[in-house]
Amino acid sequence: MDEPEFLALIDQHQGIIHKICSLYRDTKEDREDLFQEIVFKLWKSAPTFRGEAKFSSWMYKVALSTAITVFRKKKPDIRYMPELPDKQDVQTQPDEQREQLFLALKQLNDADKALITLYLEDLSYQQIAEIVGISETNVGARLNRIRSRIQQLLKSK
Amino acid sequence: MEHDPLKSAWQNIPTAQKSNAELSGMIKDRLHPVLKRIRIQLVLEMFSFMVFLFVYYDFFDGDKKPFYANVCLVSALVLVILHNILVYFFTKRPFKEDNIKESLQQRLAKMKTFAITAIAVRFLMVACLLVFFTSAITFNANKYWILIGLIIILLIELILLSWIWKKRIEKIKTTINLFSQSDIIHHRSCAQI
Repeated sequence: MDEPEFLALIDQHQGIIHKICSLYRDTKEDREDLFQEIVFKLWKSAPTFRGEAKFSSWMYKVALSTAITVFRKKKPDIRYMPELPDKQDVQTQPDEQREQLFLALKQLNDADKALITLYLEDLSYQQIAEIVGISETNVGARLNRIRSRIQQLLKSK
Repeated sequence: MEHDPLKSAWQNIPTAQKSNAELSGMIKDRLHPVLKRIRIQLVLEMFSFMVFLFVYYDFFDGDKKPFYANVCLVSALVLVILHNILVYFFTKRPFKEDNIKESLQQRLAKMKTFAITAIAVRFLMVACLLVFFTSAITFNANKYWILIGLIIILLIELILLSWIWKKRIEKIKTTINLFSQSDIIHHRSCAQI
């Protein structure tokens, strides 16, 4: 795979990388770092992509493995504002439903986050099982538990 | 596609868009923040090594130190440089495995080796430097106390470093176990049937 082809594919799928970063990291700086690390690892791992599977399946595998194994920098997130934020910016106010879904998903452990991400991306149990490396039965059982947990968390908000 | 409000909510989440130029910059070794930091560190270490060699005889009485002390000093400096080269290649390592669980298992194995190497290098480096600087000292009670103090600081640093690595390793181990959990239970119940 050459560089322009790789970049076109990443551009096409960058939405999911952003979502994975938001799920596995809390601060903007950490998310930016993870995004760069995922793109870098995908490029370094590109020669191992044989084209037998879909690019997106291969990308999920590398992106989620990176999110789980790369360590974040231990730095406090201190931001100095020129003035007190006394007015709410309507443009940047996050959508409440989205915020609640993310808050619920963020409470899951790293393994469950990976499984639910693949499920929410509309992959079949068989595809999820292949990407994660566990049995289809395991995927089904775990996703049932995860979905119930998310519903409970969303109801409790 | 089955109707699932969670899926719809997830798929309708708006995401930021990086430009092609930004994405292109992210795949360059020379722009990768960790690799960049390691390269700068390597250059600085090499430079310091050269400067040290120039002032070695005058400032540190290199010619008056025993041969083993000089060997220790050179080993300490070489170890630091080798370790940084190791970190450089570890950071660049691609994911070659077929699935996430295998990737994590491979990463865990590498990380264990890497942790042991990192701790051993730190220990050997400080030990070598201590041997070099204490080799021509005539010890008295005060100097022994200073030496003991330095050794305690080194031990505390090593314990902290081991603790950081232990936490990182435990985190990945826990995730692998979580992935495996239900499969183990499933296999056990199948075996019982």
